[in-house]
Amino acid sequence: MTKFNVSRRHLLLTGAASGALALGFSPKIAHAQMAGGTLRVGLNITPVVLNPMLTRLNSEYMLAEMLYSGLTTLGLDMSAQPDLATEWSANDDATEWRFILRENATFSNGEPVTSADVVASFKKLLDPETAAPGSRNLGPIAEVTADGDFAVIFRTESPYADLPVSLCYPTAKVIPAAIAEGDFESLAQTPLGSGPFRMVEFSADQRAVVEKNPDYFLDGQPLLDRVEIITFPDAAGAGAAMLAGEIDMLLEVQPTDFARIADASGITGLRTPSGRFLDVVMDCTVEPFNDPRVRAALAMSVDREAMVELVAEGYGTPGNDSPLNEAYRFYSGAPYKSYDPEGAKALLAEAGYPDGLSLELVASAKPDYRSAMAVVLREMARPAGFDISVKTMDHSSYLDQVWKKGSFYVGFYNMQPTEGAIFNLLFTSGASWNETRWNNPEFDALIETADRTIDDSKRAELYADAQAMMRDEVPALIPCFFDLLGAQADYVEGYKQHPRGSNYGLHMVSLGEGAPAR
Amino acid sequence: MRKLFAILGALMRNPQGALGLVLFLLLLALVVLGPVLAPADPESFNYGARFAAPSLEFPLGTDWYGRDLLSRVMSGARSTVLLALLATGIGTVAGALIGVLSGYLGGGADEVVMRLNDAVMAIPGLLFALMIIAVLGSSSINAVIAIGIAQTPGMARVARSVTLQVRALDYVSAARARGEPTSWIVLAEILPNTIAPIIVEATIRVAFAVMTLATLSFLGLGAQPPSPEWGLMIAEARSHLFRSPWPIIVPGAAIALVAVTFNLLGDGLRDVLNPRSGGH
Repeated sequence: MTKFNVSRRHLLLTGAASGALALGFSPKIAHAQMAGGTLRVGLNITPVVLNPMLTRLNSEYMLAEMLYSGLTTLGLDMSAQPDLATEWSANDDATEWRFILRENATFSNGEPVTSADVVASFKKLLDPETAAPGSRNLGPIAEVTADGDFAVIFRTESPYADLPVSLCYPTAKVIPAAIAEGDFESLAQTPLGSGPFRMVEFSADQRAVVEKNPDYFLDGQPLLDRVEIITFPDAAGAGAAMLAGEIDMLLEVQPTDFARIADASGITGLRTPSGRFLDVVMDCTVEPFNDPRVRAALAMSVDREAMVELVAEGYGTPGNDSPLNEAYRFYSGAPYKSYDPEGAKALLAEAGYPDGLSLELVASAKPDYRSAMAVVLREMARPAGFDISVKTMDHSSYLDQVWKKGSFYVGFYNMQPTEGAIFNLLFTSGASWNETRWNNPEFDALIETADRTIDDSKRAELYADAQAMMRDEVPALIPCFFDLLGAQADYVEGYKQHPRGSNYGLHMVSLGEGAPAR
Repeated sequence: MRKLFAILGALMRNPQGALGLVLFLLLLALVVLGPVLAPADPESFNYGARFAAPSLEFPLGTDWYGRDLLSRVMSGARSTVLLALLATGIGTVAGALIGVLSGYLGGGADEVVMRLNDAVMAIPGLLFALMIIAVLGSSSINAVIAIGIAQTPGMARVARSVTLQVRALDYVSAARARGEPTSWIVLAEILPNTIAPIIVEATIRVAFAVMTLATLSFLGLGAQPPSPEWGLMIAEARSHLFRSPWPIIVPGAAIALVAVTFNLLGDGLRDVLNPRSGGH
């Protein structure tokens, strides 16, 4: 029996060798890690949506990741790694991709995961009626077909080198064909997936409990028997619970709290540079933001380095009004825009506002630093003649009433796996969340060309042009990127912060020596 | 006018009242002159002096943006105290009118009004204010209206019970015998004679209004940042509590002081205005 296990693990590892290593679970660590136990994870923003194709928040992504599997999953280096698909290959111009599925994956109802389920899931995801967030991020998929029971073929409308990575998008989960074509709504209450865990209990706003899926397709995983996800109404409460040992892990720590929590005994602070950013979204179709000079003036009214200090408490890097920073492959640097309120004032006057401009900036109450950024911006932009009044609101009202609808508000976005993904999520005319309504055809063309270009140096050029264009035209003010901050008890092993900010890998986590017995 | 001075004189002879009155006058000065007297702009940042402890430059220290806390508290007095007074004013006027009218009319009308009143009173004040804000939207002025409405039923009860005593007195019967209209009797005969207990009640309620207003701002439903409203100052300071206590202590102490002031003043006024408590 043991022998069989070892050899089978061996096989799996050779099958997905580079992937497994890049993901950070070498067979050695897997042996050293102890199985069993209950991990308690603290969250600030409660998961609400259970349907894996409709999730929007990091906490929802985490739950979906535990209960469902995708075709591929995102490695720490932003490359595609095996999940349900073990291998993939493309034709020469990257328009046709063949993914080979593992044969030992089953849904929690016992049915095997086959190519029919994958095809039905992607049909559902790409159906505009499903309104799946980020469905445009999956790439220019024209057709998904089954090739036997355990292989699928993706055809794209244009060459698309990033397809395996784009299929890692958090909403791209595989569900049973019967559900995708039938009672899709039932997923809002009853999860049915092939992930490493299964749902035991879910009460919105309070807690969710999942337990080990004994039939999970990766041998020896998950290591934990149970994960309890506990929601705290505010960051201070979550921090206190972490310090008191009521939770073993806190996935998000506020910058203001980080030093204190990380310094506490028995707790390890986690910090990873990331492309996560806060931006000030301006609707480029309405007054006064339809005048690029007004947007440029606002961009000149921000002291970016001071913003990092005051809003991110130094745990971040300045931004230059493009959504890319050093964490991305095709980042092209430029000197940070300098703080020039006098120049901004002159520009405002030129745009027809010699007496300044009164604006109302909406900021959701979560996370705390959204309103901090609004207040800091108000103060920094005051000498330039901007009179910005800040309006805070609770997160659910913000999502309902302001997000994608308002003309001036603070947005908050995770890093994306690829440059194309972040541009197509937020800034192109056809973006899923085209909140700035910038709709610049020249920019769209750059991104579209880059999407279909396979040559890296050419792509770098195209993306550099796109970044320069955003710096000049400022569809959104992006003054500050945030490092990911978290905390874990010293006895938690195997957790790696993912710079993308929405992958967690809790099935690789275990409790080591010193963990309280529960 | 002479009567007012007599009341003030009596108040000064009452230890609680005297202290309350002095504090109240100081507070009033702060409300009127605070923003002018504040040594610094309450919203301007001092990057170099974040979380400063009290010093000569910053007598009460600074907050996380290096804003001068003394200036913020002084500027915030106007919005905090004035809005609380306004809210209490709304609650008092509306409550007194409903209570006096209901008490004077008596009978079936009184029953209907008071049972409705009781039904509203059964909802806790803060919850009621939250409901009203949910309908009106969150802003300072809506918070004031919400607290005013939430205070009305309690005030109506007090006014009615006083009216029931006054209604039976001879001068009311005389006015009725003269054939005076109801509005005249209510406004000219009954209301002035019920005013003392209502003022006492209102004074004490100001303290509650300050705290409720601070609570609503704390919940993000009243004043909006970066306003130096005291409740909001505390709410915002919470995430920085462990780096410096001053941003919470200063507005917290200010709220406590206002609550104490109005309670002392209310106690003093009760002693002075109550004809049965003797002394004059």
